[in-house]
Amino acid sequence: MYNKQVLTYLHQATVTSLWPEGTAGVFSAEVGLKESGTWIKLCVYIKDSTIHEVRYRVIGGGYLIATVEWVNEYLTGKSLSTAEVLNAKFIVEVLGLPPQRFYCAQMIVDAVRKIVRQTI
Amino acid sequence: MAANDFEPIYLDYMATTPVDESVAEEMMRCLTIQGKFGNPSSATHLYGWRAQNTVKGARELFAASIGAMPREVIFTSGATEANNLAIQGAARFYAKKGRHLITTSIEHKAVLDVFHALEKEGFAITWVQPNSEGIISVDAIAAAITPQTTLVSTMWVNNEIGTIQPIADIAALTRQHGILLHVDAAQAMGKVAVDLSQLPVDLMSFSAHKVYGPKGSGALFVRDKPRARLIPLFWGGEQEQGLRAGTLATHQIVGIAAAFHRAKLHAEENLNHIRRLNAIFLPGLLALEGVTLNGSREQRVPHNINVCFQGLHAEALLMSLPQIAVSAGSACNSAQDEPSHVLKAIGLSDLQARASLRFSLGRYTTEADIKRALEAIQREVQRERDLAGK
Ligand SMILES: Cc1ncc(COP(=O)(O)O)c(C=O)c1O
Repeated sequence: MYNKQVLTYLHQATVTSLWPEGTAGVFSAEVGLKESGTWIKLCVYIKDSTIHEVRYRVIGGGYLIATVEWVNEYLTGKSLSTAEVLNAKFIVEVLGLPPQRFYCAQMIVDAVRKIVRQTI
Repeated sequence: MAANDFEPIYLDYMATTPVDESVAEEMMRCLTIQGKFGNPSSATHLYGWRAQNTVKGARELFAASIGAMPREVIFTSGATEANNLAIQGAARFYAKKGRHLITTSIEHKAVLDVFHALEKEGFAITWVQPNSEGIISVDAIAAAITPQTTLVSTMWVNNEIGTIQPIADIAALTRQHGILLHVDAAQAMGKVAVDLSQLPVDLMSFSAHKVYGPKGSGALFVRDKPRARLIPLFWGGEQEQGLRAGTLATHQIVGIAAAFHRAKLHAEENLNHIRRLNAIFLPGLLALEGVTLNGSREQRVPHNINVCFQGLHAEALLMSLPQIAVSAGSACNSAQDEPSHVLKAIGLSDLQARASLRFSLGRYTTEADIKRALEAIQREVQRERDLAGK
């Protein structure tokens, strides 16, 4: 029922410990509600306008986990201006998300935008 | 059982079962030119007589396995058709007597949707709620009965949570009120003792593919004394006493009869096998943090283990466990996003329902399968809990 890309990223998702609160160069954003079972916390380490590393926490279905893992891979090494133009439609297309899972892509985009906004 | 190391471990026996090899062999003997391929209704030649005799034998075998008489058996294309024939057929036949029907909110779609259709036609339906254990109480049904009630329909073994309904008590109640009782027993055969000579149920639906028989084969038991009367679903021949027109599917009938016969013959050893597996699997799952059993612990078949992984999404878990074949809720729901109506009826929240998985054990499940499955589940539950953080 899941397509190959989604499955790949779902299986690939691994846990890394988050950076300690207040680490220089780390920006983070939360989207969704833990209580409603759909929530992400995205943290990125930025230096010289480049995203060097992404870490996250996620509560949600397989699509959300796969999407956040995908964005981890996609954003690592990218510039902030690439992150800025990331949009949900693009994510839906690369991952082949079904229409009712559009919200997963939107949540990620919202998190990325929140982070970008903190850097300017 | 995993057919080889790359095949997932099959833990979805309540969705369907593989056909028993000896059953498949018997079915094969009814298909080809060398076999009993004739039309059981052809009364003018040997081919027809052979097929007719085969169906007669199968009908007797099937009837004996459920404690019925051969003329009380109507072969159908499955439990879905049997449910439709029983519910629509009885509701329409007795519509002059009354237009109130009773069923429960935890039925399979093959019953729920029939009642929804009848509701649109103007029948009044009462949907009886289960308790939080997933059991329908006799009192709740008694309270729903009105002078207009003509039919009560309830399942025996629930397909999602495996709970066993008090059919004998419900049957005593409906008898006392002179109301027909239909029971969807699709999940009952081979799991609980089915003996219609002892149980005053008027109509009972069966399915072959839940007991190592073929898909697309089922039967409706229609009690003879007192006779439950039905209006057929379709017309086109005198087969099955005019209640189910269409050339008899000899191989399918032989298939369900052989499967039911074997289920009854080996009932005890099969049940012991499943109980042994359950005694390893269930405690293993419940030992994991935040895992709870859905539905009654006592009043359920050991084949079914429906558990809630608090805080997780079953769908993500399912997809992260390619080495296990299970379903979230019933197979018929697994393509949809809707949380299970059964889990919601027993009081689970949307979130808890979405965090639940149904494992079902069967004849070919081994202890090694269970242990491997447990390990994989343990690992994956931990990973997803870690991904979620504190
Ligand atoms: C309780 C119940 N009723 C009816 C059915 C439908 O049976 P069939 O597939 O034979 O039409 C099933 C199985 O899917 C079931 O579990």
